[in-house]
Amino acid sequence: MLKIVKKMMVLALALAAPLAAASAAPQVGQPAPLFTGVTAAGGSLDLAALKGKTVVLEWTNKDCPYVGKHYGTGNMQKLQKRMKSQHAVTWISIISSAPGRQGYLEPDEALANVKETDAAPDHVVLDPKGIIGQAYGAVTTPHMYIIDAKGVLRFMGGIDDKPTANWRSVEGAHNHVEAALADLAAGRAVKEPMTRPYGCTVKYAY
Amino acid sequence: MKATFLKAAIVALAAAAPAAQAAPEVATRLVSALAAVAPGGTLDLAIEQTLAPGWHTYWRNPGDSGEALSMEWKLPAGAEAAALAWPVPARFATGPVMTYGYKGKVTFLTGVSVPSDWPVGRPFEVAVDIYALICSDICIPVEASLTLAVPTAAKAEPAEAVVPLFVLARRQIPGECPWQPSVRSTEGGMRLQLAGGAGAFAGVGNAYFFAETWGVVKHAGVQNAEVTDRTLVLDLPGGQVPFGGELSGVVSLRAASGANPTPGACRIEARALGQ
Repeated sequence: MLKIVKKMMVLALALAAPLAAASAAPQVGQPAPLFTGVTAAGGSLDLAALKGKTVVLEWTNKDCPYVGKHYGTGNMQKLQKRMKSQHAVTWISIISSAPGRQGYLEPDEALANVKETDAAPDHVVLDPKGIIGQAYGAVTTPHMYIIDAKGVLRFMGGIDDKPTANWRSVEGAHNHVEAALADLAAGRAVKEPMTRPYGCTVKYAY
Repeated sequence: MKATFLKAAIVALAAAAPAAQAAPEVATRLVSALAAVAPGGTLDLAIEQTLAPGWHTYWRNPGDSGEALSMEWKLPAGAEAAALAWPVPARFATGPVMTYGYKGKVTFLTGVSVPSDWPVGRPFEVAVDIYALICSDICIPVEASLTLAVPTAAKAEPAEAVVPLFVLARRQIPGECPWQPSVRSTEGGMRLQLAGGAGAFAGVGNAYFFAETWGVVKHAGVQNAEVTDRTLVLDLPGGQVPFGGELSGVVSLRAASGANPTPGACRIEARALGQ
């Protein structure tokens, strides 16, 4: 009986998640929503275990033209590598596309995509039910979040100030993630902690 | 003479060639309202997109995702393009995401000034590179390079064949609202009030406000409208961008059930008192 009740509670929570996303986006300055995710490499990733490290979350969908702009020009890969070497961040790419929708990848496909694009995330988390995405209120791909060493959300929003899929916009763009990480590293308040997310709609299972 | 102008209009239409990177999901053309321009005049132009069923494109504020049409004009020296006139958008809801845009056929309007010293007889050439995003379940960026060469005459001559196109397109462009707008911040966002004369809002059942700038109003939020005979009050949920005291956008009115057809949409620019 208890087991059934427990199961029902989980079900209720799972049903509540999509509705909550519309109103309950996480707050900058508050603890980032905790999650445990399945990685493309076959492991399990617990955000709580990354305390002490600065974490970047990147929502992605390899077939979205906005993601295509950042990977096709090499912009995202360069940012990943630079931020990892400069600020020792843990970079997590998250795929919240539902099965059958654009950008959904099986674990081996996700790993192959990292290799093909010469990307450098520490982990690729597969979130086909959109539970992590909705907990963070991730709306677009890309959609970026920075969590500090104490587990506090310090930045959320668009990767830069050029809300277009046009590849010509990459050069000269002001990268908000890089600026926020520089602020954090210098012990300053993040100057722009919330920026306009832009891109494709995350392909959740609505 | 008339035959020449007719021919010119056909040439102008024929010059509305589709894009280099055209997608079959959308056809884009540039249409001249004139068969001949006059020096010192204005050349009215339409950028018309015809989208395949199931596809949509975006308003100037696309909403939570998507992207507005952008363009780069290549005009003769001294010629200038006016700001683009955007038709009244529709809402597209995908789960908790709200975007603003168009499906079917959408026509954007603008005008290009013709230099007063433009020689009569020399074709007036305009070119524009268009970048647009079209979406169904997935999105495709499309580019189009469109050109027109319109003959120049001492007196401007309309392109008769496209008069209906321009008449219909102008009807979709919101005019300025005839009411007194005011706005103030509330706990959850903003309250927009429109005040008119007696019966100004008779027959209006509901309304929706499309904010022109991104994020001031929560795009996916519920807007509560309170309609009286003389006033329309809209409670707008605040978005990610703090309200700075100014609000501009398009008010779309819905007829009350049983009332005459909808009074349509119009544009407002409101300023908070004391700002």
